[in-house]
Amino acid sequence: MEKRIENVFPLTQSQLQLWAGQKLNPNIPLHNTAHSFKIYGKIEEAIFQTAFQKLVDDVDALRLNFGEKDGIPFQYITTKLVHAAAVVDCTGMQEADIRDWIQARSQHMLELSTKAFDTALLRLKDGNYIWFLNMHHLITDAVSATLVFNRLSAIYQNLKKNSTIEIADSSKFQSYIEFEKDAFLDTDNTDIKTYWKEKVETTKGLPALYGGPSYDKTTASTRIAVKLGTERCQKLKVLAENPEIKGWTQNLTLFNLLSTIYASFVYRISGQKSFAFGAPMHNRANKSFKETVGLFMEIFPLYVRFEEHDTFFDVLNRIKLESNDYLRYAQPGMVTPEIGGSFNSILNFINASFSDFDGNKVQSEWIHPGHIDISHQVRCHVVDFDNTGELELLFDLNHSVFNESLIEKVPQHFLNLMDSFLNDIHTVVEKPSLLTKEQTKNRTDNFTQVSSQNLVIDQFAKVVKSVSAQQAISRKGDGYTYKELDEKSNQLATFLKKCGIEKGQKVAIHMHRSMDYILSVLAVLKTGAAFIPIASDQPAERIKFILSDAACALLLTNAELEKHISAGTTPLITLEKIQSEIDETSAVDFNVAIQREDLAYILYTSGSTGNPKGVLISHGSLANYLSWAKVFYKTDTPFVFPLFTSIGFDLTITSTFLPLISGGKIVVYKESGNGPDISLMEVLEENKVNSIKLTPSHLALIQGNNHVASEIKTMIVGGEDFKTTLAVDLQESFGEDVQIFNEYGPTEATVGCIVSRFDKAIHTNTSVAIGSPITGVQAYILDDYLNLVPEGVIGSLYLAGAGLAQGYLNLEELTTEKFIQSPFNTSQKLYHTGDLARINAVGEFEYLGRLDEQVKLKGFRIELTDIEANLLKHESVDNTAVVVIENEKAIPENEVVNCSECGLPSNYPNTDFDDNGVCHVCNAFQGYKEEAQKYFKTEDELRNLLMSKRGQSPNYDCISLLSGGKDSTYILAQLINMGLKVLAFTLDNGYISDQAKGNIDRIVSKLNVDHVYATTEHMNKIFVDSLHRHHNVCNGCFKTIYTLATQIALESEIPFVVTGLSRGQFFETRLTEELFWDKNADVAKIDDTILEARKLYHQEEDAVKDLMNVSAFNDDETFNKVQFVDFYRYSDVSLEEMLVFLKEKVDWVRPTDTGRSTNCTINQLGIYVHKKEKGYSNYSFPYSWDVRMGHKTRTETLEEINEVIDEVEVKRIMQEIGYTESSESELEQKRLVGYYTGKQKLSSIDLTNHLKKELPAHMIPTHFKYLDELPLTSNGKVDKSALKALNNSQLEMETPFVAPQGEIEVLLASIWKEVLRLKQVGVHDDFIALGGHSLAAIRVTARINEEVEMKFPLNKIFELPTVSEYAKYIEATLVALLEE
Amino acid sequence: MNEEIVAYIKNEITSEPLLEINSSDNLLETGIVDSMGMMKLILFLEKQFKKRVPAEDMTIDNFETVEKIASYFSA
Repeated sequence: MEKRIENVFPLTQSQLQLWAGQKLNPNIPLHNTAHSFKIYGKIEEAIFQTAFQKLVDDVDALRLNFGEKDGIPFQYITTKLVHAAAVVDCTGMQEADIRDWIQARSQHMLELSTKAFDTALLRLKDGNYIWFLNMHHLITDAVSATLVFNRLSAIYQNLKKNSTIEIADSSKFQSYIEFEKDAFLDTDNTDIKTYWKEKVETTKGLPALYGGPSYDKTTASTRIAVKLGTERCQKLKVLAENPEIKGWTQNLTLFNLLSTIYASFVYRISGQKSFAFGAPMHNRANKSFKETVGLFMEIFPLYVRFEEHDTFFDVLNRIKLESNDYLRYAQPGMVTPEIGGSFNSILNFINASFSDFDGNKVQSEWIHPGHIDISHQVRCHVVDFDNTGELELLFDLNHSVFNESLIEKVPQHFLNLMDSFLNDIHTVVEKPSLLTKEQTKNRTDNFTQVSSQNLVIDQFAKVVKSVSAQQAISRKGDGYTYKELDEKSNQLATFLKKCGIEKGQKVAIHMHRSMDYILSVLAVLKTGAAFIPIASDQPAERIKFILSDAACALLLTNAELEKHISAGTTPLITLEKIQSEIDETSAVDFNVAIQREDLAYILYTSGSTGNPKGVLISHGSLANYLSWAKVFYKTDTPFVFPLFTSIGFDLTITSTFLPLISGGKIVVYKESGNGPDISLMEVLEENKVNSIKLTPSHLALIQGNNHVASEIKTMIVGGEDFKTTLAVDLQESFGEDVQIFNEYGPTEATVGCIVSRFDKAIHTNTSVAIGSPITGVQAYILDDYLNLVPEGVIGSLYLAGAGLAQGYLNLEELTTEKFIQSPFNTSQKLYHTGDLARINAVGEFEYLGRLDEQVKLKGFRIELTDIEANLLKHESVDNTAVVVIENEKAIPENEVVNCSECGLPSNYPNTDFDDNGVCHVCNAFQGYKEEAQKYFKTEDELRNLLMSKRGQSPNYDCISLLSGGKDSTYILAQLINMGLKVLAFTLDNGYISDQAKGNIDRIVSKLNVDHVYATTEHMNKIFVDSLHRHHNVCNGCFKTIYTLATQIALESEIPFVVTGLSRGQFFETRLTEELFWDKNADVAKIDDTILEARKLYHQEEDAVKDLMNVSAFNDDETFNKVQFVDFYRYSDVSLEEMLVFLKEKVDWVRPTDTGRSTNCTINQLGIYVHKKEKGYSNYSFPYSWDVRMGHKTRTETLEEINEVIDEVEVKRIMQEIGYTESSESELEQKRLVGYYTGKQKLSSIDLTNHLKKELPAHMIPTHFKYLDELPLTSNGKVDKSALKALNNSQLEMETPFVAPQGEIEVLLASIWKEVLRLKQVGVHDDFIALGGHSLAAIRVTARINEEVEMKFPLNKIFELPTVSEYAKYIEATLVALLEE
Repeated sequence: MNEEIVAYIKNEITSEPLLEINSSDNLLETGIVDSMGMMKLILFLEKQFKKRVPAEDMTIDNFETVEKIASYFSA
């Protein structure tokens, strides 16, 4: 073989991608593109060989060789490449052997540095031939294969006929290389590159096909061929002719149709609603390249988005548009590694076919080399190589995702979806089942009916007989043998019977964990009644609710708890009080006949309505769980369980009954009176039990300690997601001989119904799989249309079988909603757990969180458990909980209603409207309206006040704040009218409109008053600060005015500054309802409080305090020297009167150049920001008060509030003052928050960097918050709702979040919550950081004083700005008082 | 404009340069221009007439003949 290098070229973009893949897998025939063509006829072998050499001479792509220099690949075209096509004699071979030969040959590695192809002619025994041709993908693509085939056929024909007709020479691939390089470098194509860059960026996140890879990454794949058949192809063609569907060409239409089906398939096997799949573009648009052999094809992503209830037709229409963009931008040389990484599956619509060879019929086959690109999990090729008119699908399925059993199912899943599509294109995409009827039947029929099981009381009775002298229960030194327990419970049962308790009734048991509790449970069951366990920590109200909801016949309790209960009409029995009576009662069992359907217990779980809901569990369901557990958890020694978890939690049922029905023992651990329950520590310390049932959160508390000496050998974990890392730690600290079980089960399916035994070799995912359903229970994973989802795909978990509850007590609607008719079995109910799950590759169920906690950010499903698991990998993190904090949904603007009296909008925080549409502020005001009137005075009083210090200043009685608006102009005129000497003061904030300035100048000259304009260079910074702090500009402006006016007043010794605050604004800034609670409060006192608040106001941190000279306010004297007087406290004038006066007397003209009714052009910026971030105008609240005070009408305020905002102007001013708008409003924010515990607080950067290694950007929490410990609910689960209630500033606080404890902290926290409108307050949260200002201080202090009957001063809250400090102070004060 | 369009199709798109193209010939159904070719033509005309064709406008009705293409771009 001779060879000379003619020309060296770089690789094209498309070749580079293939090269990179091949380089990573140097010994894998990943890109071999082999075809076998069976030719039905005789071939002249020598002519064929000559023809093939001629082909190589003609086609430069075949002479391409590849190499690499300094890590950069190159290609060159050898001028001469001699290749004698091998002729293989297969006449002695069977068909199967020939197939094997071809398969093996097609997997030969091609030597790219010398020859990128391989060929052979196989002589068959039937006289026919097979031409085998294998080309590396670097030199070919689907169209090329047909070009090579046709050319060889033509050359062969020519040679055979000795024809002299020249076969037209086609362009060389070399020209394409040059063309492609130019296109790649062409700056005109920048917009194309930008387009793809943005596309890739906006659709990040690959769909997890069938749950994503379950096995190691590999190139290995299996090809499955599916012939669509005549009927389907016919239907496709009919659809393609539909004018509503038809695209430019039939091929484009078919591509769009198949893309729709394929995209729907990907959606249905991944659950992801927005993704891209790769679609190869053949790139031979230029006429000069139509016949050129070589790799032209580039793969570009086609983006799809699914919306709720989309039909196939909806998706098709979206794809039609998207494929137009695809065509526009899928241009030669534009593909990049980033583009290549934006999809993990391919739809390859191949429009190429092989005709005859020298007039002989040909049957072609594209041979799969057994490998595909490592990043492609599915490739679906649509082909019709032999031009039969019938399409064939070739699925290449990557073994990292697909095992043998799944590979078999894929075609059926696809075809089921395709058939629904073809039958009715208006079908909702989610509706058709992917599984065949048979597959569904296999999965749903596959369960065993439970045979009769002994009910719990019978099982207990049996045990009593066999081990009567053995201890059944113990607590501290006390204990009962089985015989004693049996007899004592018989006595109590007999007593209860005498009290009228019988089968069908319900008896509540409100007790501490105690031997009495177990005794009572047994006694109640023996009467045939059902028991309702109510834990000792339940509030009286909740107990009251349960007693009435369940119509309890009786409440059993202990003396210790009795005093907390108000049982209402329910009879109450305190065990201690009847003890002597019971002791004399018969100890003989009176054997009530109990059926499986009879109720055993009712467990109350928290409900979404605020009231708990009672779950009805029958004896049959209880027996099913216990009978299974007894066998499943059985060990050599009888169970010894601690009773240490809440009796109101269904997890505790295991510890309550399992020992008693199996001859084991219960060791009782009573809960501590208050504070955290440390029973678990006691259990471990005493080391008396061999089995334990608890939550992962309990376990996290004891994680890290060495427990090798523990007697515990069986650990049943339930109630929460069980992280693998925790399980691994436990296995290590307790030793390998401990069996750890993960038991899943909602209360509604009786304690546990899916279980796995932890095995660190198998359980390597984030969380320990929940395993397989227990005997008698069936579990299904279904989609929204109740179809079974395919393996690996996430769906909702439904349960059926013997463990199911009978429903919810008195909640028929909810029962029907949650316990639905099974679509698989008419005699069965399915319980909708609301949990997400999937079946993993080894057939175990995996729990993936709550449906209602399902988090989607920008179209991606976010696995909170995944983030948690990765956080846990950080060495300094002990425990973690990740939540999404979502602000309550903003009320859409068109749904906002306004109070029918004052106009307050319903999107103002915490509003509450009554049936007449009146807001709570108006209603509350009715209660103190009269008291509030005391605050207001007359104009005479004003005149007297302002004259009272006449002479103190040589020139003026007062300063009048003049903004140029109507209110301040009116004041100035009135003060002059009163005969006062006035200095008019205006803050020039840089945004007073020209017309307003005109007004000011005209007014001061007409009224003949002295006037000053004051200003500060810091105005813009003050605006920006005010926008950040208060979401408006006015707060900053007001404070600047007060500061500057005070300075002038001090300099000129002017004793009064008259403000133009409206009465409405008083209630925004000075007055609160609390001031008027005390009906005897005198006005002077209210004034004192307001003055105190004003002093605090000037101490608040903000830009004014930072940038301006505010030293005067540090001196209390200043507040005596300069008194602020609110004019409208003394004057009661309506808007209408005012406007008439202004027009007639002072020639005031409403400015038309501010865009609204003010004098200031920046005002609307404040309103814009406030509306955007808070949802309502900052004027809504003060204006509503103006209406309440009778100064404005509702219509007038609504008109003002709804004035149009000039957004262009607003944006211009934003730029001018240097304010950057936040990208999303506070209302829309979803914050991903990572809470963690550990030895110390870690920096967010540290945690972010740690997570970045494993997680995509959208899964990195925006906030991290350090906690001393995770808050738990009384059932021992992480209290996620508490964690979700923190607001932004709380998340940003340096201090760890600690929930309030003890009466006073809880009281303070509840006051803070109400006043500061927070959902949650931590005891170390800072009052000011939470938005506590002086007015809030008035409210909080007033409320505290009211509650504890003290007179704490206003500034205490700033001295002691946390709940913890203030609570300590209150406690100390109270203690001191008591000691006196 | 018609001539310009026909010339572009002949010079750049179709591999049969001798083909007679009338302005009322159906370019798409006859296969003279495939979808990629049509996009190529559009990109050329967009540059030529400084008019951007939105994806929604890429219909058969607007582009099946030289006439229709010309009238779309002159509209």
